Amino acid sequence: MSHHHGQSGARVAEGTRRFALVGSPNSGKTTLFNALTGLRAKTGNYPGVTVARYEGATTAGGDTVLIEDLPGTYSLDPISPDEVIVSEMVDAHESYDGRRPTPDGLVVLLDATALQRSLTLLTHVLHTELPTIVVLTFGDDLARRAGSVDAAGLSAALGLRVVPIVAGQRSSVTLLREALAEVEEWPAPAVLPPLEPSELGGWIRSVLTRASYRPPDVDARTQRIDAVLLHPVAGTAVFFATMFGFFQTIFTLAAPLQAYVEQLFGWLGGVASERIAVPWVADFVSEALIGGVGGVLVFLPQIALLFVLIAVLEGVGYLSRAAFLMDRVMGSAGLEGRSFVSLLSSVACAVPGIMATRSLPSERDRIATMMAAPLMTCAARLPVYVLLISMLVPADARFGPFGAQGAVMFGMYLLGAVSAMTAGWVFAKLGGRKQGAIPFYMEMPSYRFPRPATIAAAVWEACVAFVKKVGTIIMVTTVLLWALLNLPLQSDADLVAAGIDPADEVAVSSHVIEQSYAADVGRAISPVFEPLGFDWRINIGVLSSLAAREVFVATLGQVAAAENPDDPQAALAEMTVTSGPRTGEKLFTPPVVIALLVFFAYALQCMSTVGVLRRETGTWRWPLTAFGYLFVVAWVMAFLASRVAGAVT
Amino acid sequence: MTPLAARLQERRIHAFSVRVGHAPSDEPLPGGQRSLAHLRPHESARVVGYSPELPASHARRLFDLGFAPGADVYAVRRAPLLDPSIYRVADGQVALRRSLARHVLVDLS
Repeated sequence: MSHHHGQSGARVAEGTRRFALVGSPNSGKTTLFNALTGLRAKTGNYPGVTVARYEGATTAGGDTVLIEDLPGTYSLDPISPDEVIVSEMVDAHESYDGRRPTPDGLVVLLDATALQRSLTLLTHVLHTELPTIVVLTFGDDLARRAGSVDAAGLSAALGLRVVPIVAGQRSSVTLLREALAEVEEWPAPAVLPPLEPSELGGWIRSVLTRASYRPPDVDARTQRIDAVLLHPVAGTAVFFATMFGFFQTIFTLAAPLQAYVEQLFGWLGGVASERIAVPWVADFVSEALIGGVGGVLVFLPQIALLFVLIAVLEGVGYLSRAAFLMDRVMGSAGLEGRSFVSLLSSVACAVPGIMATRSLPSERDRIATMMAAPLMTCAARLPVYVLLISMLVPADARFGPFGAQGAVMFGMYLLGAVSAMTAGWVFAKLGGRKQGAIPFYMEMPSYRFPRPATIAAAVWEACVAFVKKVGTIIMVTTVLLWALLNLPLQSDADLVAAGIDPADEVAVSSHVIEQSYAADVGRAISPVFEPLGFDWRINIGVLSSLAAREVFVATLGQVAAAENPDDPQAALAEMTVTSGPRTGEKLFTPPVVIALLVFFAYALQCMSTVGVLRRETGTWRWPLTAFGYLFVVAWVMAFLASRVAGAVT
Repeated sequence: MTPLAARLQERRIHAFSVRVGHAPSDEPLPGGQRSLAHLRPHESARVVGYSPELPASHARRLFDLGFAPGADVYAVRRAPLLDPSIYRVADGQVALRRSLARHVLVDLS
């Protein structure tokens, strides 16, 4: 347990100084962290909790020092797991079995436009009695709003060194680096400030007076923008337009980019299989290895675009407004406004959607949102639904003025959204019982221009973390499934013996699948899926869809191609049951198709989602919980749906 | 829990005797007392304390956010669905749900 030294951090020499950034959300902490560490930051998780840890190296006076960006907090009196982390990190009085080494110094960010509140947090920090330095941010905002503060006076009043930092100004960051190099010389206040609530107000007033603080005027620009963006009519319209654009971007704009990635890796796979003489090696390299790498990288356009959008919306200040507008709706599911963006992103793909839960301040809401996100109808379910719906509903059937196929598709989206909200509600309730309710409050920051460097860092970090941590899981799954679907190897002699022409690729691939270990697994698990009406061939499809849901379509196509290579779709529709009491009957009866539709609406048939859940929660507990509960729900709902459909038809 | 967190938990912010109960939010509380939830947009008030029903940890967090006894609060606006509301306090803007705001007792100014 205790061998987790820097499990997420950079490997550094003994004796390297560590500094922690402490500040409230929106205090400019992330911007400062990026300015100090650039793209050398590492993310991980604090052991045992679903709290992301950001750590990076920088140089101070020629030495390498480590900077840790602690979760934003308004107080060291913790009420959420994130705040417990901050509280334990900075309180030097106790040792935490070496997993969380106490920093050598604390960098406290004071937002110059909200100095009064920032000073409350500073009083808590000073009672840790660790060496502390103050960074004063948003001085430019303060000046714009006709406020002013005398940094030297503030320094004298606090008894601390104060470094004013202007975002994007290298020289001010250089001053901070120099200060970090001489932590031994940082002054400490002669008398600690009061913690007693009745004395705090007087202390803050005296500090503000000695700093000649003139508070900022009400931010007129923010008021004007809010008057539109939070207006009952105009604000709601802008909200839906923004979310529509958001959704369009990750769905539509990412699609061609993803197609390029797929084409590139398809081409690479083709080149590889041409160059490699041994057929099974060629197949392994092109499909399992190159296909696996492609299967990882294909997510990057979506993840990058999503994080650009989130970083821009958050940097501007709109994300809090969107959460404010949606809070009541999400609150009905026991979640909060900030969960909305994550669930919306999950309509494109649950992987970026789950990564977007990082913006949620409470662990309970993060977990509940993560457990709900895989239920939103993602893009990978579309080809599966299209195939199944076309087998269920004739193309020319109408449902009132609408095409019946489209109506069923809409119903599937609705089923996903309602199920996600229900799951969120259940997990929020379960989490709330364990943790106790956290009061909801959300700062509405002033509108600001986002910094390109901050956006770039957020996108870069998300992509790197995804490739590193989730890539392995996707690769392993792809290789494993390839082995299941292609082994044991069929030599040409085996094929001839089985009456297959080795030159007939379609017949060969069908034969290989039928003889594969996957087919054995499909037969072995048939008792599980028997009540749903699935036979071993459907089971292979379900098994193969664990790599990605849309693979279900290709696998069923391969199986069906054996019977009618010219028209696999028709062959699927004509396929009959080959064993058991239903022998000779059609396999894809309406109850079976409906059971499959419902099964795919619920089941977590996506190892990438499992991987990202592992990555974001830092434990196997939540991915296994999600996989398990969604499988059980999928089975039960599919069973009920097929029984109801069987009774009606 | 760390020693500092324990000390911060011992903070007592003077309790107030007016119970909020299930009183409808458009009527004053016993003794004519008002809460933040009574504030209409563009109204100001001064925080006087918290209801005894509010968990002490929530009261301490509201205090740390600036909703401290003696602080002036201005109701900026309500969400289109009427909840939550944005309040201006300690030079910043914070959104609170009605369920929390009704426990913050105020004097209308």
